[in-house]
Amino acid sequence: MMDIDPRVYEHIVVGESDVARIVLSYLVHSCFKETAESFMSCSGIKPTVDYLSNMEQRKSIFHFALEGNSLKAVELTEQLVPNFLEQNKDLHFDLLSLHFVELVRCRKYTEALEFAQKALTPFGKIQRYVGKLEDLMALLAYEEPEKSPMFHLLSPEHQQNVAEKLNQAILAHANLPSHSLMEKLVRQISVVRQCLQQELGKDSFPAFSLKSFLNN
Amino acid sequence: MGNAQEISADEEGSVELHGLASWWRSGPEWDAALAEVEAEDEPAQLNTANSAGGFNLVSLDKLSVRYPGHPHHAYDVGAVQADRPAPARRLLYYFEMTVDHAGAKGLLAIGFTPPGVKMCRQPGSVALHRERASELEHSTVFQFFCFRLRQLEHPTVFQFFCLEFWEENSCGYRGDDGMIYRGQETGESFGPTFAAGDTVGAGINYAAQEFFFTKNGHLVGAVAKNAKGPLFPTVAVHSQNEQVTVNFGKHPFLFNIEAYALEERTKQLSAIEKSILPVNVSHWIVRSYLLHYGYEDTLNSFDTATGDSFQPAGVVQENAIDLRDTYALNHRKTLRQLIRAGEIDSAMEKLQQWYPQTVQNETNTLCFLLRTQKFIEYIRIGELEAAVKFARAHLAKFFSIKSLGALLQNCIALLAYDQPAESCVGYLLDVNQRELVADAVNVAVLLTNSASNGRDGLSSRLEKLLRQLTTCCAVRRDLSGDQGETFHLHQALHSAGRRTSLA
Repeated sequence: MMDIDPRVYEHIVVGESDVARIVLSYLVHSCFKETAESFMSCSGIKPTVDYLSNMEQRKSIFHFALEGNSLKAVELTEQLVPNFLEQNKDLHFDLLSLHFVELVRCRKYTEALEFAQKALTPFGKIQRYVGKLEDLMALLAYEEPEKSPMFHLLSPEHQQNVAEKLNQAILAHANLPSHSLMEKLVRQISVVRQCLQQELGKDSFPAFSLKSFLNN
Repeated sequence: MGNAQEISADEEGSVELHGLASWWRSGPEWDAALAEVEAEDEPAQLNTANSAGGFNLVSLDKLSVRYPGHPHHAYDVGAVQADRPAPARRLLYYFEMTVDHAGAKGLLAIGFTPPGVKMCRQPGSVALHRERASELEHSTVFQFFCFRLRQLEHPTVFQFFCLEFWEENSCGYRGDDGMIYRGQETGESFGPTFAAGDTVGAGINYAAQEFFFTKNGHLVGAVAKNAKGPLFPTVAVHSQNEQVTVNFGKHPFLFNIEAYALEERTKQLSAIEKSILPVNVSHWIVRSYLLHYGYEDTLNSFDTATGDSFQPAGVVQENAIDLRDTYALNHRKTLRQLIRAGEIDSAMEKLQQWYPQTVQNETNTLCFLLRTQKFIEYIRIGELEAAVKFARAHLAKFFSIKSLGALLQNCIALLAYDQPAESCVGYLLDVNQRELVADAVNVAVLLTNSASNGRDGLSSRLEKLLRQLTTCCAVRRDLSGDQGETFHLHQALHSAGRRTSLA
């Protein structure tokens, strides 16, 4: 699939330091501390907001969540911002479910059940968690939960998603932008191209695809 | 400046200067360029010449009008437009009207009408018009922006002045019944009535394609806007001696328009945030950027960090990043480091050693950049004699090249100042200048790669993405009749307010 012909836009000018800031924003958002520091020294770019203050802690939290060690992530989050998870119940639930899912993945069913009863069922008092709880519990019923209808709960995408949400919430709490510039830009281009595709047809403006863009 | 092009390679395989220079525009330069591109005239005054019936200007600034009316008639209504249509290349446009003096029947209205509004005359007999008059008084045939009866010499002859307008293109909020009129005979119920002492506002929301109205600082509501043509802010008053004052922005508005704009932007942003993000795009774009510019150390750090814990959830083709990006990575990194440190001589030595073809022609642009940077470095450390000697030996040959002449003069001018950093050419001493040279060297080296396909290798994919985005937004705005905002990177990064800006 072809990307948009570069001749359409090559005359547009963009500012170099602005572009570098976008790269930096991605690096600090995703807690690439050493990379960000290296980039800043190689290019002379400085961040405009003080991300660095909690980057170290955010980094650990983010990585623990990504690895599936969500209990550790929860612990560190509580340390960083006390009562944070109480105020973000959805997030708290998602993190705890990750741990539950991890136990299921390791076939430690008894542990999983115990954990669920202790940590998850209290959420069941609130209506909106009931459905999610049922989904989680249902995983226990399958010999191969990966093949169940709720397989997405075991997927790495889901894990990454929850870790991202946690990262965003911590950033928002610290009054920092919760989405990196890079992400916003990519979303924006996808949306705009989609609109144009609807108005002008598939040929002039194909939908944004990373593969075609990078290969162009 | 406006026609700065992307870098293009000239015959010697060197780089074109203006393309590079435009990347290093300063903040104020960007703002000025943007202002030029997006400039639009705004309404500033009321246009009483075009109005129905004899408004008297009350203030010199043409923002207050009184309708003197005629003492004999039941209906003395007139409408007046602003001098220019509402600007459309923005998120919102808004203006307000305050009713100063009372009138008996509040046929006051505020809204927007299209251009080409005509005054038409339909002379007719008294009898006919009297009937019509009473009919109109009670009926729904009365069109919103409409008419005035005036008795002329013959007491039985009335004249209608009416404003014709295309149907859905105009919109008005009437004070007597609180209804919205959109070119139809009947109005739709909308909000509260308004009269003397009230301040009402009317606006256009280009993002949502709506008209919105306010009363005394509170939003009354919004209705859909269908047409895309230019629209004039319009006010109408009812009876004799009624007076209104219009505010096109000279004074602060009663309604908090900034907060409203913020709300609207946030809505747009959340719509975008809900969109599905193509997987791992950011990661690969950043990686390709680092490769392009030769930030080898940063790249290694990045790869290490992502290798360990980052499990790409979706798989992107392994050869998505072309080999051409990794070409000469180590060399490019070294060259960049040297130049950033001001060690121009070493950089030139290395270039000569590794990529002699880039500096073979001693008068090409790359050599020019390197030599002038060396000269600048002499100035920076205050070695003026050495600088002059160097200039004689190495810079003189560039004077004959027309395209470089002016830039060269700016450099030499540094000699004239006691405090060169504070002079008008002081920007040359900025570290950014070194970056510019480093970028040029980077590009020149990339171009020596026989596998690169010419112009394509000259900007990183991120820049291409941004250019694409700028163009796509511009096309999209064009499709909306040139209304609403578009995307300019510098503006997006620097606009005030965390939530509305990208930053």
